[in-house]
Amino acid sequence: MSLRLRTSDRLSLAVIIAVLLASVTLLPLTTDRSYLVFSSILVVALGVISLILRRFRLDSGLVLLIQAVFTAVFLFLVSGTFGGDGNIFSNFLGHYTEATDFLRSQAAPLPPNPGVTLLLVTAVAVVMLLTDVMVQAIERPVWAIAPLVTLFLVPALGLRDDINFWYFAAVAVGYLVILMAEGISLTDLWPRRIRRSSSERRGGAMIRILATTVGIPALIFTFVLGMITPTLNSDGWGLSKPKGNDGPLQLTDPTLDLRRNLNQPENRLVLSYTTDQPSGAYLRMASLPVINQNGWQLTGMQLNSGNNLPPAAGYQARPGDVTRKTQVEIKDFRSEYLPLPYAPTSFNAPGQWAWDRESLMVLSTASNRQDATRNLSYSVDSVDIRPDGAGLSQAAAGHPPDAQLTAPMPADIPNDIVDLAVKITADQQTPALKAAAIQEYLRSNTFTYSTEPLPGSGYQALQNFLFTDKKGYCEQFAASMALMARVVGIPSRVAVGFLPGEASGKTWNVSIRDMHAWPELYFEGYGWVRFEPTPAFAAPAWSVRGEAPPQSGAPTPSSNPSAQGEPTPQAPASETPAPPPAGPEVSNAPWARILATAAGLAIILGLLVTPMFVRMARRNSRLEAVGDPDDRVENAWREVRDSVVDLGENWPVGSPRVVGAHLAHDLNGTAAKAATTLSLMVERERFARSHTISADLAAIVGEIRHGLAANQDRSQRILATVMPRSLFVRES
Amino acid sequence: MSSTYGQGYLDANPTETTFGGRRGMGPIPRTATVEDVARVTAQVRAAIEQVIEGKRSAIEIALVVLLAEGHLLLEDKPGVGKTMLARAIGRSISASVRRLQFTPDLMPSDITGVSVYNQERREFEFKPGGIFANIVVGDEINRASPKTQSALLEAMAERQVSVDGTTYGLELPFMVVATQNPIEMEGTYPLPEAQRDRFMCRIEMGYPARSAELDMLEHHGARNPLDSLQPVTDADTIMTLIEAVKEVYVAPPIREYLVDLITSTRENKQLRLGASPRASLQLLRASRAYAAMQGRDYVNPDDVAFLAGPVLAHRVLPVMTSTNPNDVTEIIDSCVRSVPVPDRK
Repeated sequence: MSLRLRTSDRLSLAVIIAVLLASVTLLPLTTDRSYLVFSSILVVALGVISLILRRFRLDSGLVLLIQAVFTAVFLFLVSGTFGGDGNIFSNFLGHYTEATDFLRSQAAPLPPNPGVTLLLVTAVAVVMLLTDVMVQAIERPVWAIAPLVTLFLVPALGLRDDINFWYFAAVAVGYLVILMAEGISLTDLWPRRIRRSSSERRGGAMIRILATTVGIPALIFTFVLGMITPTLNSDGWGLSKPKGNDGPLQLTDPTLDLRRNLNQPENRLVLSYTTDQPSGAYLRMASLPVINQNGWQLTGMQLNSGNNLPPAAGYQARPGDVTRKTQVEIKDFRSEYLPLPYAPTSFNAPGQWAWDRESLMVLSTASNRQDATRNLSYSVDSVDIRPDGAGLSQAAAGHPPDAQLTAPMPADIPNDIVDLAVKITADQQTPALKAAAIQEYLRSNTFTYSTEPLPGSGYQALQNFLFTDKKGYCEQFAASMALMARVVGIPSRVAVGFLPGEASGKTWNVSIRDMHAWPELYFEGYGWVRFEPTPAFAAPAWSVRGEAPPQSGAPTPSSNPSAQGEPTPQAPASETPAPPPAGPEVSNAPWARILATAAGLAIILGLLVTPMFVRMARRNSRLEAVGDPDDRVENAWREVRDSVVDLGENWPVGSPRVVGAHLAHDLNGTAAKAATTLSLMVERERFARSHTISADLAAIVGEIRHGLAANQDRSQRILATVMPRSLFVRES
Repeated sequence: MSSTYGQGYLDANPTETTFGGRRGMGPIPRTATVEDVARVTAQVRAAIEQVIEGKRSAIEIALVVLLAEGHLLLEDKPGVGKTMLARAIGRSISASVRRLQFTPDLMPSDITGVSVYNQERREFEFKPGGIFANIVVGDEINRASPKTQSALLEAMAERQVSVDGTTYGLELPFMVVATQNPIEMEGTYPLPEAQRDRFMCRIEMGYPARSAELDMLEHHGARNPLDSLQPVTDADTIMTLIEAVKEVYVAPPIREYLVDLITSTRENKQLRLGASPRASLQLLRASRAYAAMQGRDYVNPDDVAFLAGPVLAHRVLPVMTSTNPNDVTEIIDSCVRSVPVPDRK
């Protein structure tokens, strides 16, 4: 057996390289890299099997069967090395079941798990088999991009994190290797009939030139884009696909913590934080979107992994928005909810966290998630949402994305509560003013703050609070206001979290009794806005009726007669709106968006024109007036054939003379003559003892192309230029 | 015949004798090019077309056979001009033409010739048979006995005749045009396949088109058309053309194509007998002649494809016995279509 590489050998090697490169892209999915060892062994083995069997010209179906059997045996053995109890076969399947469960409950990167490793090796094996089939069995190497990119898409779509661009580069390089092998083979096939002459070397050279002129710039292009794209919010592309996590998490009711913690005998420190927000930050843990007779509750959520959160629902970015940075240290406090200032844009916390798009809640997906926050140290960026009172008072009650949960007024709501809400808000015209009126009513002297009321936020408890003993703590105030907001048509929910706490230098200390609940109401253009009906705590500036326009002054909670007598008063300056900034931060987001769009368009445009340039490069190299006369004539003939194919026509079957006659029949005078001349030159070149090039081949080909184009309408011609069919249709 | 007599006869005569035409492998007066082949055959074809109208492809194939040193089998109904074609060829190249009417009582010696004793000169003298001519028309060859048929076929293959131990070379160029009546008749001996294989091409004349038949009536109604046919060349020139044809180049892909084509007849499910290696050789020779007649010094795939039907159709046997020769031609055509034309060098 000669050492010379055959076509199928070359392709087999290219497939091995490409799949090895592509298998690297699964790395971000797991912290355990051992899968790479197994998958690499398997890929090389499958490739070698393909190479050897195809040397013996074994039927492709048989090759695939042998490869599949080998893969199964290999996976079985790998599964065996992982051990387990019971018999080896049930272990094998057990590993897969385990892996699927594991995937559902865990966020990437996944901790070491034998099932996951087995699953990843299986995925790589399937891609290897598919690529091998496409390249070798059905001889469509161009399609090999599909399985290769599939491997890349798993982490790209599954992870919210940006994937490093070199993972894509690995896939691209692998694909290029296959295409190069294919290209060399095509020119190899070509001169086989008569002699192996310089044409082979030249063909190889042509492929290499193509690879350098087209492939490498394309790769550089990809690298550059890879560096640009991570700065973009993936939502900007409309491509983000959240990784579903079908609710295997059983959440605890955060209000239970609230009640328990507010009644702690000793007021211990639970967390401290530093922030550049002057008045400290409300750290929200959860928002309860659903109200029924049992009170405010959580509901099922679609969790997403990643550290970057989408923009807050319904909130329109406006000048003056400031991104706040907050660094939080949690002490001995256990929760599965990560306390964050609203609206968080990104967070960086150790452990496994997932977030809900609507509420922007972040919760732990770790196995011991009840303890997830204990001794946790993390940082968070958030947009400081501070509506202007004037604007808010005119805003309509909005329609949040989860309106089916947060907007409806329950049908079974007690009538006295409805009547009360209507009565309080009767004089107010706009939703925000109605909300302010409700807040004002609850903050009035009618109600007394007490941490020992009848517990609960169900209708019964609220009726009791509103009409009977009129004593309650934040939970009742918040629940009542949120419920009455629903009555007057404002979407609402109840947030649970921490008050800003006490400032000590730059650090804010939050103790266990700073746990708090407050209503969030939804307004068009503002999204979810915090209100503060609990009289003990300062109401936000925007929530107080009759305020002066927000830019003009600094209303303080003390201007509200009812805001007093609370052990943790707010810093007076806290609600001062930030001065209207004009810094780069403001314009950052739109610029990034524009850049992103431009880059996206550039990519699309680049991809669209690539076939055209490849085709042009091919044509120019074919019509070069240098080299072996045989090759020149053949290249000119191939160029004519590709031009015919480009225009969507079929290349006639037959000898050059017959084909030439066919072409001439469809062409006008000079083009027909050129076609005949060229076909006879090809015939002489192929079948005569000797031949000479008696005419300018480029001119002849140009004449024929001209004639061919003249037979087509404009759209056909444009299509043939931009999307040359000959690049995609394999010659028979 | 006694051996002494034969011995004496042999002493007195050269071992090879040629009657009429040139001697076998003598020097060729001048060389010809493929352009000459094209020019002369065009003239000959034009001359023959004066006599036989509307039968261009039959005439061309007959000339291919002549230039490729083969023999022609004409299978068709009586009266469509089979003999006329052969005579016209002979006349236009000013070669000798003899006609042998095959009948059941025709003897082998009628074909080869016979030695008779000359009383005056007191020696045996060879009386050449009907085969001694450039163009020999064997009419209704299937009516002769197998023994007589085989005498003809032997002479055809060897281009010489042996009588009483003496070998006589035949006139060159030499071509047998045998006609066979496809209609089954009593007392006939259709040529077995092995014998048919010795003919390079088989063609059917077919009935002329209506206009051609009308023309024929108008032009040839009164006189024998052959009388007005003037020779356009001579036998020596034809010999130089035959030599020129041998120089026509056949590229390796063409040879591969030809072998693929022959192989496909052997693998065709509709044929129980495919073409023989002799058929390959004859197809190659015919293709050379045809290429030269087009003025080409190389064979192209179209030459091979064009001649596949005439060269192969009478050599293969279909699974279904059929009296319609067109069926076989159809099968050969399907073989041609199934073999890809060499598209790459």
